[in-house]
Amino acid sequence: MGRALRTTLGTVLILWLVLPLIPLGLWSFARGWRWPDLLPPVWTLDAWAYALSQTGGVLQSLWTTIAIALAATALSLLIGIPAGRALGLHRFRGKALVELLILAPVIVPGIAVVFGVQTVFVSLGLTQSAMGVILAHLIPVLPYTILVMAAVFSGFDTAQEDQARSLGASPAQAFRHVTLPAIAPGILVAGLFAFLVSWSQYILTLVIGGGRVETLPLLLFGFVTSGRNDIAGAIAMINILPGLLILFVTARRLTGRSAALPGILRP
Amino acid sequence: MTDVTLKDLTLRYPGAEAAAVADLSLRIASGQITALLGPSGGGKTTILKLIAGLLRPDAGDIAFDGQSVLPLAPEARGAVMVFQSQLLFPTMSVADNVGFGLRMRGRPKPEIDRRVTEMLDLVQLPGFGPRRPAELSGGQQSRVALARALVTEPRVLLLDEPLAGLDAHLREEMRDLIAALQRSTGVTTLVVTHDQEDAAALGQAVALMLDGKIVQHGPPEALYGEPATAAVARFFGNPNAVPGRAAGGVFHSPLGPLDLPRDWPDGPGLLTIRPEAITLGQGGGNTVEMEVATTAYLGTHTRLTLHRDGVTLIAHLPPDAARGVEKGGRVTVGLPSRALWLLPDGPA
Repeated sequence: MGRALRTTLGTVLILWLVLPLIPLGLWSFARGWRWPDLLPPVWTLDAWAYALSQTGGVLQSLWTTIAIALAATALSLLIGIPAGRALGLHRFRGKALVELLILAPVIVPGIAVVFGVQTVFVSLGLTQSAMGVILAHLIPVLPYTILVMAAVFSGFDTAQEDQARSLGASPAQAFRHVTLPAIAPGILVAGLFAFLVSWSQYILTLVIGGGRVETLPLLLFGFVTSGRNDIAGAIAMINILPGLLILFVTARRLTGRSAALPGILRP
Repeated sequence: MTDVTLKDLTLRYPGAEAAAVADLSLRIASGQITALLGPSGGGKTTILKLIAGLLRPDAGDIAFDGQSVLPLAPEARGAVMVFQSQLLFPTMSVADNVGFGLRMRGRPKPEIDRRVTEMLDLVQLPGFGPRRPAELSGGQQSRVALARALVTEPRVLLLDEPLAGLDAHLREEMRDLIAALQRSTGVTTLVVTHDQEDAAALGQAVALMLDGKIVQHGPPEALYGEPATAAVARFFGNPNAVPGRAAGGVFHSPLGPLDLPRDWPDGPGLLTIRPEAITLGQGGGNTVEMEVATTAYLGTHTRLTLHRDGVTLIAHLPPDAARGVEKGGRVTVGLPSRALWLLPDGPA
């Protein structure tokens, strides 16, 4: 009974995740695929050739997206680690309000704030630049890093740092040798969240980047609206790659199993 | 060899009403173990953290060999604290834990390896280097924590309840180990404990702290036999206090006149005698007939509660001697004059 239920659940989950991707995958190899054809009449690698060519702009866009996501991740960790430490370890007046404000970007949709942000960024000269986009991405990214790090620090005993100091470690050494190894798994999780959240930003990149900063979601949307479903399919495949990679890598690192889905299906 | 002087130390935690430590002064003798004894939650751990530099006092001074260490950061003081919860670093092997202090000081690796091996031998854990702290028992973790502290050759060793949470036989092993390590290194050591037996067994000197004040500081025998106040006597398991008046070497009390061991200044006072010093029958001078209110067999001794004329005495007798003593009966007990001690009269 238990095994049958698990198998059913696993199958449903896989179908749920994979089914919507099938038309995209098919489109990336199709030419002139129209209703009521069940499968593309002509199979071709044209879309992939375009997407992977040096001149198509997709690869350049890929590097831009990676660079922006990495920078946003690094910055958010730089802020999120000390902020999470303060939230996780200390009680202070107005803490609930601070937590609510930190969570606010998750609750309030980006589109509601993006034009206000744009006005501020224009006056600061930050629009139409990768730097501006990175800073704008911090808005949706920071709640995740801060809250993950707060949870990590709430399970950390600062007496460990006292012990290190007493044994002769400077504050920097105590952090490097005692605190950092203890919170490293949490930093990994927070960093992956940050990377994926930045990776999937659309509206903030569009408005703040002002067309000068072209990340994959922007490029993808352009091809979708212009009806190039084949190239859009190829870009979409590239776009979901980091999410899948991270899923498989972390499932192994964090749970000690090869991957999450086979874990569910394992008899 | 380093002596430690605490002078008028005061610390109030932010938001707390009462000070955790108030106007505390204490001199910790060089090269020996001093036990800081007191009930749990009395600010003893705070004192260790102040000496280690992990907390800054609001007022007062801490001096090593007469020189104030307040300007020094914890890592520069040479006072190593061993926490009650051991706090082995879980991400490091036992060897890396023990070598931590030397690594932080940038010592060469061969020296660290040699010293770590030496220390693990010394705490009777040879070959434990590659293990993880989580694989060790509580007693083994305590010994690793001790090795990790001593490897840096500190000027002052601060031990917070090193015997708490250990089984009876492990306790004695650990006591002996601490005493042996201290003897071989000669490090000035302050041990915090709430257990008077551990304090007496470990400390060449014992400082008893009650209500945030050091009420008596001296060799353990003095705190047992010559308590400064009735509270000290009670803390060391002696509830006996007979009110009366000393006059000409005799104490006049509801139990009748009792010979004092030496001339005491005349005046009112409280007479005390340790429960185990009371004998059955004649012996040592003073004898008193008393009524037996309760008897309780406690394995190593039998405890009697004795009444007479509004005075209650607790006596601990060898079980053999107490055989035949019945509740409700009358017995003659001896209060040897050499075991009598006078406390100042009044509260506490």
